[in-house]
Amino acid sequence: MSEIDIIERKLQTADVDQYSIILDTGETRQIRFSSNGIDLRNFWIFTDISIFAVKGKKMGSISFERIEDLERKVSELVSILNTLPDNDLFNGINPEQYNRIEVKKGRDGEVNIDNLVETMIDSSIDEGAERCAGVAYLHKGTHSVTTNFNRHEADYLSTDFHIRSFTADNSGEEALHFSLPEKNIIEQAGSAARDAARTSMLDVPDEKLEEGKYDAILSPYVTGNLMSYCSGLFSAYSVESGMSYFDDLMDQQIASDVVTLRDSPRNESGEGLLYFDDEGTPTKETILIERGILKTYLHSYSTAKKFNTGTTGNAGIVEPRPWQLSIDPGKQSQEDMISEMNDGIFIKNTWYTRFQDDRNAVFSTVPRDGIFRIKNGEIVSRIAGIRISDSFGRIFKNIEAVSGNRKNVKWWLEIFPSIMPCIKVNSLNITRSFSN
Amino acid sequence: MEIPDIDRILEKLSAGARYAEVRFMGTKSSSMSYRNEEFTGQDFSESSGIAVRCLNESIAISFIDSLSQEKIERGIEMALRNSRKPGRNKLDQSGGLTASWNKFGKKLVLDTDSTTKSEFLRDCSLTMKDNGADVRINALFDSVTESIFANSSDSRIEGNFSRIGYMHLTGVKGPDGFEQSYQQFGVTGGYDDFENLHIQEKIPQELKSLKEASIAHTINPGKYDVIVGPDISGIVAHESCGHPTEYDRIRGREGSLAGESFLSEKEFPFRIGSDVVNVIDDPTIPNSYGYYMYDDEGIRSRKRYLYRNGMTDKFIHSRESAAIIGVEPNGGGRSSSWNMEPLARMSTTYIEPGDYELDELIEDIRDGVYIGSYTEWNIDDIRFNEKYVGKDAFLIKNGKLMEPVKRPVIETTTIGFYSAVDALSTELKFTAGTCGKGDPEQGVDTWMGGPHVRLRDLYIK
Repeated sequence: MSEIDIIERKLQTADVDQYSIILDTGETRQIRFSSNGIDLRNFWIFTDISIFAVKGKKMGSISFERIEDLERKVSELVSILNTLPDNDLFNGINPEQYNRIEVKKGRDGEVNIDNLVETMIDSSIDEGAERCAGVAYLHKGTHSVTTNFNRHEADYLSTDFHIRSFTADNSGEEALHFSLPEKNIIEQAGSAARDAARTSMLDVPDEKLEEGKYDAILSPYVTGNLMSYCSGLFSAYSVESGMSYFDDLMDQQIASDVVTLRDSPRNESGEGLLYFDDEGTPTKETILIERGILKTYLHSYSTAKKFNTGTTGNAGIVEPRPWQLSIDPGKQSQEDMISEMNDGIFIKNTWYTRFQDDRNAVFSTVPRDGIFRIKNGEIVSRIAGIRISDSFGRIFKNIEAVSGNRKNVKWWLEIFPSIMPCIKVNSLNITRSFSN
Repeated sequence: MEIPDIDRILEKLSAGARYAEVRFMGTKSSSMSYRNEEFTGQDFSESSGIAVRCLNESIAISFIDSLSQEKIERGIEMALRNSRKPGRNKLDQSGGLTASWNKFGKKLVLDTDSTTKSEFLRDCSLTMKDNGADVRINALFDSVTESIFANSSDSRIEGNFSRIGYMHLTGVKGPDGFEQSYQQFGVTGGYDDFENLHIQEKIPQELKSLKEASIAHTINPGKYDVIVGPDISGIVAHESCGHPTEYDRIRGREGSLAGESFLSEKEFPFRIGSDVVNVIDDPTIPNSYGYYMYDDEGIRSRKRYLYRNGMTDKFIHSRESAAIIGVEPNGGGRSSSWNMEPLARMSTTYIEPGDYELDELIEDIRDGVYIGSYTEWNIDDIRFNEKYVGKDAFLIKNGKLMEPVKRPVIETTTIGFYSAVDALSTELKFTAGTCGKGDPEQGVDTWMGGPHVRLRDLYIK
């Protein structure tokens, strides 16, 4: 009997009405490097078991790692469920039965990450950067979801890596993710390293940019960061909480008409590839913003019932979430955007995005890894020490153009796996520290 | 929790390595949350495993969550194989320590039932509601951790402790915006220690301040004498002293992630501010959220002055960062879980109090602003260019607190901030935080705090 059969049999005989079992098993390899040398090789062997259970109007969850603990953990869950407060607003786990999904695709195309890291470091040095730092991962495993109504299982194999190259005080960073197999993955890592090095080496004078509003080209990393930080606001959970900017804006024009934003879990190029959500609902392409109009929130079965609509396949059973956001490509290239800009700025990366007003999505974020002034279609100077201090509402409405080329961007805890273009934003508010 | 045979694993690992460590950590944790008085669930987690770290041509770690002999053997074999590949190979190998420590408090976490916890959360939520909050989200999380560290240099340290944390996010809708507040509290110990935080009693003042701000005017940008409260002195201590003095950052180890440090390449001691500025990191403060007696690398914890009299002083070291420059590690090697590498981390970081009372700080200001706490904040990746958006803020005129002001913004530099400090109050208050670092990102429990701090001639907008 397989592990999942043992767990399900235990839940079938436990005193609960509904359950969802998520079982993840696998291995992960990681290499960390800095100053052109390898700091550490990590290797994980893991089994993660998560059980969400419902009894009457009570719900709770447990997670653990050892199948040997199953009997004890399920007993604890059942006994504690009885002591928890009711949740009258929860509508249960999706009862619809779907055709079983079983994916064995993620088994081929393993990458040697020692070679990948060596290639990145060598490429950065060869391009002329003084030093580089980064991380590379290889993830391999099986993900399954079993409920009273459905069972699905998928193998996965993916890689993600990022590199930051430094030349004097300047840096460039690239951070990509791929579901495997993917063609020429080592070459793509080398190319990313050369891009990061070139950004750090761009030989233009420094300029102190004054506070004010500037037209700006935001790279796929900046776009990915902003979309990652606003992604939670699309969740029906945030809307219900009273903390979402998108509350009361359904079917309204919230962005310029060049913006179509999707959740794309079935895009097989990226690490965010996912076939079924946490309650066994098959995932699908979901349009969140279509030509600037807000079309839906992200739903589980329970939140969808409350909103009188259908699930979007984004459970988190209690708190729905996106899997792999993407913005539809436009027509211009990044290079065309730069050459057509009369006076503005080009921001390559950003981090530490924080809100002062979640409901109105007022925030600031700190650009890094290449900020440049553009005049008459040319990069003329390098900028440091600035901050984007603006709101998502203004930025969405001020997007003038979207690039045709996109990247699979993922970086640390700042950018969720997503597929993002460059965007051109008019009148972006820039602030800076007074004493620098 | 069942613990694998540490000695046998260490023996096996040591046979193939110049230096070897085995670290077991097991944590039972519980979290529950309310949203606008709706109970949104409780999660129980039990996570345990071993990390085996070895040193040969390079450093390698395997993380194994199973008691299965086969998986443990594979983890050991992979760590040894990886450590024979090229890479950096400096790691402090000190040992010879045997110790055991516990911190559980009197009201034990495992003896505290779910009903008691959920009633506390519901009561806090109702207090927010009764005081006019339009949004009320709160959560309670507790954990019990057992750990064993053993290395090939004859150290064996056992540490067992419990932690309790609480957070809430609340807010008030105003005519031109939403005034919001996030607060986090925590202790190492038991529910008796947690009750001493008196969280529910703090909520009415917090909501009063948000309501006042919702109808207040913004400040006229310009230079002011400023008093910041303990929340802000705490976040400043954490962000612009604690992080830049983590020595692995200074050496570029986090370069592609949270970045490096404005102190990289500097000659030490380096002046960062006025003579009255002292900033400390201290894991030994009883019941502090980041309390530990030995770190996750088996090194005795200790109080460290990071900035002293306006100059850099000590740095936060792990075994790895200390070995790079040939100094002793100083108990800063922390790991959030069995499956995370130890890194140079903070514990409780705070600005040392001075000898003024708050009234004395205020009465010496003719035209200024008091900023009690903050909402939005961020800082650049070398920890130099920072922003704090104020809440609980008031104008100061001729030595008296006047009308509230809405979201005054401090956007300055680390040296700009610390150089403007001229006086500090006697009190010392802490809030809790979860400090993120590393890849995979690992959040460790910390306190941050300080006194009221007066800054002269700071630009506020």
